[in-house]
Amino acid sequence: MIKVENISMKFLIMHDRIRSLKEYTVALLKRRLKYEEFWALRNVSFEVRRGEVMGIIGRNGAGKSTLLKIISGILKPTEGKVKTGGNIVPMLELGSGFDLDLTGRENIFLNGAILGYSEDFLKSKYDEIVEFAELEKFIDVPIRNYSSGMLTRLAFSIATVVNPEILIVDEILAVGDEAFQAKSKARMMELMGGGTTVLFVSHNIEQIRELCNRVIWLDEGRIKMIGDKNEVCDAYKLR
Amino acid sequence: MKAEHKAKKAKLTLPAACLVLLTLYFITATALYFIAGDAFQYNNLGKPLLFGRYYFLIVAAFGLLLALYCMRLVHCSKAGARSLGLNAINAFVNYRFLLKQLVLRDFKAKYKRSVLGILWSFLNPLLTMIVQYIVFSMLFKSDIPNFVVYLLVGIVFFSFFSEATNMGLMSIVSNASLITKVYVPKYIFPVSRVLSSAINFMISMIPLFMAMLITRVKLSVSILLLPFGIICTIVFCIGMSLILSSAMVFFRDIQFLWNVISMLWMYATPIFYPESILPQHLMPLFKLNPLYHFIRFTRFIILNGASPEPKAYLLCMIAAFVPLAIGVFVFKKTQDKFVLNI
Repeated sequence: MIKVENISMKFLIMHDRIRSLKEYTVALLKRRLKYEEFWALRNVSFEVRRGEVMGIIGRNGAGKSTLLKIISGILKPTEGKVKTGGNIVPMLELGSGFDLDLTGRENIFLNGAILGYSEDFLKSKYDEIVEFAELEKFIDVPIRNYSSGMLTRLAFSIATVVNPEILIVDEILAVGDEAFQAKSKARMMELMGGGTTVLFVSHNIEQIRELCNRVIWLDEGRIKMIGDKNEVCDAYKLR
Repeated sequence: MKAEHKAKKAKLTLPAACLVLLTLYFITATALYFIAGDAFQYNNLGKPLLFGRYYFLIVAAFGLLLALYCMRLVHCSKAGARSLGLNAINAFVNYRFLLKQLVLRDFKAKYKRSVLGILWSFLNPLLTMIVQYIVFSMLFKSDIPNFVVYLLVGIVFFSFFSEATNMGLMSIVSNASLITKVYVPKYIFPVSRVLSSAINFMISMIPLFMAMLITRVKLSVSILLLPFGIICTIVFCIGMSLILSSAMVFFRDIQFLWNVISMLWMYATPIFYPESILPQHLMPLFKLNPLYHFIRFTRFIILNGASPEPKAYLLCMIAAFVPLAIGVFVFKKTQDKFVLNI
């Protein structure tokens, strides 16, 4: 269950970005600390029921990523509240927190800990992760030496080993080579189908139609339309 | 099936943990009484101290306060009410695995690409000490008894401070990619950096003990008081790292500024010179330096083989927990803006 109440998000944009104490003092003395306000989200409210798959569409800069970040707790909204019931697994970018100097094995534990898994859980699922990533031979090699395909495979396997109550997905359905793409897509379908509440951002309208129950159309930080997937997708295509 | 990966319920229940805590408190307090011995009974002029006379009364009073607070925590957790202490305990239980992983990573990453690896933690203070010993025993004809140990205590403590704050300073900025992608309590980064430096700190105690053996320092039971000074120093460094890491997010030139400040700090701390050369009228200023108290405390224990006066304990605690409180306050105030600025 996700309940979003009247969320607004304001960013302050500085024209010449001040990043040092020296510049700050100079600007303060010259009284030239100017900010410009930018509202990335304005009064967004909606509710996602347990087990529902909610799609989010909109053009670049419509506020989709900001919304996902607020719901996963990374950003704090300027106004409004978010209520979530259950553990959230955000899949905004795979493999954040990988350390290139550590081995595959060490990274499974590090990345798992960052995603909030417990030690016992990771130990019990360790073989499953390695097997799914098809990295048995290379697991004790520092991941500095991995190819980018191997890295994404490892990251995907760690991120999807759980059955979270809330899953937040930002366009990562297909990674790796063809065989692994099929496998990862099947795994995503399994996750989304298993009674998990899903928030799913994509630019691929066909995928949205295929997977979601309802869809939100965001436009310039406001909800332009919310409702049945076909209605919203048709309207979005006509725009 | 669902949420099976959530942290398993802590094996220790809260009331049991509180009992363990209270028992530990009383055991430590009693042990302290016997280890400290005369130091708590008489001041250096031989006059009896009120502190020693009423020691167990004071211990009991604090114990009672602790017990009351524990009862409040248990009550809050039963009633499902929110409380600061309970939140902190929950956060610790939920994130201690992450903390452990981060500490391991920082520690491993440090020596991953060097041949001697972990041996550097041991060699570094040893080599610094040898260099400084040669320099200072030739330049200053120092009249400090057992100059090697005196110097080494200063070096080991100051290099921990310098390493921990320098690593802590970068902790938020260098984990930017993580902080903007996953929700993790942010204080965990400075804390993990300080704790991984603390492992180094422990390892660098080995050359100190070796120097104590070589120079025939008399070992007495008061050596058991060392952890007090060490823990206070670690707490102080956590506080400093919280302040510095959040300042670093907003002002990137803090790191250059900090290099200069920590150099100044080193010369302002009696590491290689005796306290006696400090001008008397400036002493109150030097006593504002927390490191002064931790180093003085540790030197007293090692070189005198006895416990310092009760006031030294109090000063160490103030020097550790006041910066921590300021750090927690600054960090809490600013942490929501980190994502927007890194």
